[in-house]
Amino acid sequence: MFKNYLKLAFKVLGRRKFFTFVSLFGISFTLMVLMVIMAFLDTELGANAPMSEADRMVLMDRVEFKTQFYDTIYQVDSQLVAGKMTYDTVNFETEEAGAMVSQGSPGLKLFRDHLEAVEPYEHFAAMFRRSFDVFQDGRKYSLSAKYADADYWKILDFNFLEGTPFNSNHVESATSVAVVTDRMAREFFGTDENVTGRELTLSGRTFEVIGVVERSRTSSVFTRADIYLPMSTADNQTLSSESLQGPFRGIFLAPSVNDVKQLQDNLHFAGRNVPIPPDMDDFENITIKAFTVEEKYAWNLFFDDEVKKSLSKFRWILFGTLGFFLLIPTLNLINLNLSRMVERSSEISVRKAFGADSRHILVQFLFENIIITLVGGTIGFLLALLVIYLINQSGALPDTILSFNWRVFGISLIICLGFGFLSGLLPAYRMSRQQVADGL
Amino acid sequence: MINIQNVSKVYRTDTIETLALQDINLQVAKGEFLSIMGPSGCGKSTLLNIMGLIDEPSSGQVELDGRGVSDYNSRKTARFRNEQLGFIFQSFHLINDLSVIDNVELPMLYRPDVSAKQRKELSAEALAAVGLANRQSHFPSQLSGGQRQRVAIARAVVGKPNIILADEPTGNLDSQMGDEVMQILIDLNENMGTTIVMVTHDERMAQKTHRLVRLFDGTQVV
Ligand SMILES: Nc1ncnc2c1ncn2[C@@H]1O[C@H](COP(=O)(O)OP(=O)(O)O)[C@@H](O)[C@H]1O
Ligand SMILES: [Mg+2]
Repeated sequence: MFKNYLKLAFKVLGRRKFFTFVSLFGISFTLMVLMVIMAFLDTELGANAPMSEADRMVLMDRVEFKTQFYDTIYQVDSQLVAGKMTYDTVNFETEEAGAMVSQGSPGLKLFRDHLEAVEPYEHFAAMFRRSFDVFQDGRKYSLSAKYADADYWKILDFNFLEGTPFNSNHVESATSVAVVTDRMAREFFGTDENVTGRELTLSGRTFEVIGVVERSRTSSVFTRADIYLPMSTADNQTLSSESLQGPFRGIFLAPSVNDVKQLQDNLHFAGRNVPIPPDMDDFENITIKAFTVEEKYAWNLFFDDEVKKSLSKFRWILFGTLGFFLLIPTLNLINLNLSRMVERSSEISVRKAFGADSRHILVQFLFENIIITLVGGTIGFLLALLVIYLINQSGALPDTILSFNWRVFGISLIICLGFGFLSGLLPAYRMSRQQVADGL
Repeated sequence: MINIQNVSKVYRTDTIETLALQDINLQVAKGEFLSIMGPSGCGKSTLLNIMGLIDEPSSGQVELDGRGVSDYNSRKTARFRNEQLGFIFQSFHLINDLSVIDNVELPMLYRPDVSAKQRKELSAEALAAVGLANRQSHFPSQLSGGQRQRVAIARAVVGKPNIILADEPTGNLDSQMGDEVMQILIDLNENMGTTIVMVTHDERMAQKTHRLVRLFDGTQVV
């Protein structure tokens, strides 16, 4: 039965060339846009190496010191009692009159003395970024270096093309070893093969390359760098600073997805209870922001005081855009389908005269529409691959390498089927209700 | 087999009311070959459609095989059409995007217990019976009018219905093709015992049937 519908669907597509072109153009363009957006989201937020455990991660790189000034407003009732005016204070409220805020990334001390004791987590790594200008063969290279704890490599599953990460021995003994990305290896050493064992000098200190990783595909500041160095090889001044503010970030890996909320809450709680250091006693309270990966992404776009607010803005805009992108072509397709199906009212009547019931007609037309959508989806998929390739080539997204994986493909397929179903349902339903005699 | 009692049919549009059938009473016996004649617009097609459960009477009763019909859109009615009735239309009403064999097997698509293989066999048989065994993969547009009507007959008989309703089956055909089509219907009636009701304009064709009913302006005159 479906084989017959399939034959018919392709015949109809072939016969009505203009209609087919218009439909397919709309469908494939829409799905192409959707797939590129999905690929982008998946690259930035999905569970892909090196952030395969993204949904268990808690990112901490924000601390705020704040003092709030309040005005108190009294609301007073007065009345004459026995010839005397009496006053009753019924209410008073405080209103924010202003605040003194100092915000930025945390110092290492905040992690080491206060946050590392918070539970529950499996691994924690502190890190900070520094850039170096390196001269080699008469050329200047600007390198972004990330100093990190050894557990950094346990949280982030970078794909090692050769060699190994540095471990806790390297970190404890401040061994001068480095992990570099394939891109840096190519640019700096001219090759990304057999790079382990080679050396490079950063600010007078010579490091030996012990590993080469595939460059992180996301734009996350927690993964992005050209070269990764043991934390202990950084300059003493940065490492031994007593300040709660500094250039550091921390990344926690919760034991499971279900522990993430608890860990965030506990971190926030611990943050509030950090004693204000004497040199900052102008401030009354400390707040830290411990983000999930998605929250961090959303907050970087909107910077709301409340992280949740940024997150919901992000989601609304995201789903709104996706919905809008689907809605317009869906309405369009419904319209096209209605006119197309009307032309087939004689076929519907014939089918009904020979024993089809409404359900058969509904299924047939829905099926046909889903076939068209799948054809459009396939074209859209190929276009999306092309667009993704072009975006990656052009460097329009400097720190993101888009890719199209099976998960994105699966979700796109579901969206595609849903799109075909929705745009076909109403027209197919209308046609299935047609009285037999009307089309003869 | 077919029992039409006090059937009237009124078509209402925004501006006019057309009384297409007025108080028709008609019985067709099992195995009978009945023809209906009358001038254009007198309600012949309407009557045939009502007999075939593809149009609803405005009033009156329709009984087929002793059973009345309550809901014309129900699955039960669809099943009944599928198993008991076969239609032949004046303008063939083949589906142009389907090949001849796919057109013929159409009624069998709606029989869940018939496999694809059986469908193909039955359709091929029906096509052979109308002399079109070698035209299976042609498309309707590649056939002559007479051949198309024979395809339509094959489609009407493939499900071995007890009743065939033919609306001017020879109306669009020249006399030789018309005779061929008529002969197929006569054979069907004589050999298979199929009850046939045929609308025709052609006195000659009507003479070959068992009984003739004449309509005039929605009423039965003979
Ligand atoms: N769907 C319809 N809507 C309105 N009037 C109709 C419809 N179908 C048929 N009629 C009218 O009903 C009358 C009988 O039509 P029909 O049964 O087709 O006649 P015949 O087949 O005898 O030529 C005609 O006057 C025709 O105009
Ligand atoms: Mg007629």
